[in-house]
Amino acid sequence: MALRAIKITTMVGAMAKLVEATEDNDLVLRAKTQAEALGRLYEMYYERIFRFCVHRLFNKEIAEDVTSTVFLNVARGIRGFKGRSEQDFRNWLYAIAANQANAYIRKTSRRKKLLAEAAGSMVPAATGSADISFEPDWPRLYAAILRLKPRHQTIVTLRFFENFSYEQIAQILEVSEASVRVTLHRILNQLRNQLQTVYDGEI
Amino acid sequence: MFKDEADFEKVVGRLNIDTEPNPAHRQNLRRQMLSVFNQADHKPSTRIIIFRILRNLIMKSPFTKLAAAAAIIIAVLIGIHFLGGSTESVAWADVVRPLLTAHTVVFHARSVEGENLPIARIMNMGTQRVRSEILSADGKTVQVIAICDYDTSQMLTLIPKQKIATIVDIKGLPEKPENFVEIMRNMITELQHDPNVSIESLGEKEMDGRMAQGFRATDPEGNESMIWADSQTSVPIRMELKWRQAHYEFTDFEFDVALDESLFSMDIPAGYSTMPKAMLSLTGATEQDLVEALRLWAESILEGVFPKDFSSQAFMDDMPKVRKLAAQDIKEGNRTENPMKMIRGFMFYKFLKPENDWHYVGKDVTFGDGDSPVCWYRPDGSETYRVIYGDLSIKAVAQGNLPQ
Repeated sequence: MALRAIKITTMVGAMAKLVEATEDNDLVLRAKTQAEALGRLYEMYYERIFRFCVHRLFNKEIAEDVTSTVFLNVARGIRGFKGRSEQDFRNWLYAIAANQANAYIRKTSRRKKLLAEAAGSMVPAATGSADISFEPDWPRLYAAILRLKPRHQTIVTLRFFENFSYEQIAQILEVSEASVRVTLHRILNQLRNQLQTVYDGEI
Repeated sequence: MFKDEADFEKVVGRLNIDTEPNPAHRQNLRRQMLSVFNQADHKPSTRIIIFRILRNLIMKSPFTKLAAAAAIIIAVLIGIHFLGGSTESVAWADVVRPLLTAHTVVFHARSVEGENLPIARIMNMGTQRVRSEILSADGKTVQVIAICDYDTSQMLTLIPKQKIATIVDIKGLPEKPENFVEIMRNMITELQHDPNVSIESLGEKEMDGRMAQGFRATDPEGNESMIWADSQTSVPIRMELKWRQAHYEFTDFEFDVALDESLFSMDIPAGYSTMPKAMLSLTGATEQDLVEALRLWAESILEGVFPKDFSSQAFMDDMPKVRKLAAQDIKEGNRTENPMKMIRGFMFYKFLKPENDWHYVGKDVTFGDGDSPVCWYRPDGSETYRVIYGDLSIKAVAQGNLPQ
């Protein structure tokens, strides 16, 4: 009896997921013509995009500006958006956000401000903490990240700050999953090399 | 030092970042976004992705088409910026009027990959023919003239000094040829806004004796276009295009200059000797094209060694030897094949993306040396690299085993 109840519950759960997914897909199509549907997409994604921008830019005010640009671009472009599913929309949205954040960071003068903001973001390690193999100098690491190509910075943010899977990152960047894996491996090597002089002897 | 991904995650986990959104911003932005959505034109917008189109244009053609693409970018960038994201037709019309009403366009284009590379003067008068004059580095002498007719997919090349004419059949031009003045107009009219392209103002500075506004557009691949336009008239002054391995600069723009139709004639001028018809395919260049260009350069041009670099600059530096080979080819009635091979080899190289991780190490490598690598790259989606050796053999090599 209990087993049957579990099976039914599972089936109901699966059906609910299916209905939810179908509604989401329909939502994207409707958002091309209906403000109400676009508003719902906005509510679903505002926080995620804002968080992504904070993680790229380390300043909430700047992140708000960039988030605004992203959603205003969506409002202008949604009618011509060719995607149909919620996944298509998500990939499109993150691609725009990554692009806008990169455009902001590209200005050298702005990097100094970002570095200053980033410097205050690190929590000191607890005394005797052994869960990490080194005491990271976050400002230096962030400075090294800022020296990466914008596209590579995006990969770092999506992977480590947003916890996206390789597959999701590959979809957003329109490359193969293998390419993301290889690129990330190379990015970490590059960061390690850049920091080597600082942590000489710890590798 | 962090050892791996897991270690890196721990670093990030230790960051104390406030990501709590501001409810007021959230509400205001929602209202603003829906207002923009409701104000937008309700007819289906033609989402022309400028860089995709440009990529297609560039992929399908050599220099003349690239120049055409430049004209489009210029128009679009100026348009996007001054439109300010709105669809107010008055501001739009005011700003792009000079571009929309231009009947002729003339400008200079050059590769900035090295010094003393030739300049191309590109002319179009609203027909489906484009004339390119390849000038000497000082801009004083016309070395080669190329008139491309997109209707018939043919190009007439003329070398004034030697009075040699060649007709080239081109494969792979766009199916619907349009002159680029027309393309420019269509783009301005149809483009609403491409959210995939970010536009950034570079501010104002003095350029060539006048104040100019600069803008930079970046596509998701990281390709960049920069333009400086006259602050008063919005007429473009200078533009740069960085696309994959290519880097071009466009200057000396002139709109509505009087151009004689005879400049675009496909008739071979009197007194010119005609070479056998040549064929140039602009469909996707392959690794084999690269290998063939390397072979030609190392074996025939440099007589046994690979060039110091696989670049336009290195090719120009070897120009005296190229001319010698060309003279030999002319004697043998084979003048047209080798240049086409070089073009296709360069096409393959130019279209490589940063993630293809191209490396050239062929300097001082002897042609035929099967132990010495000349270059390598990683094909799209591949985990291994393709390494080309001095004997032009190719091996798939894992990243960790690449030559040092």
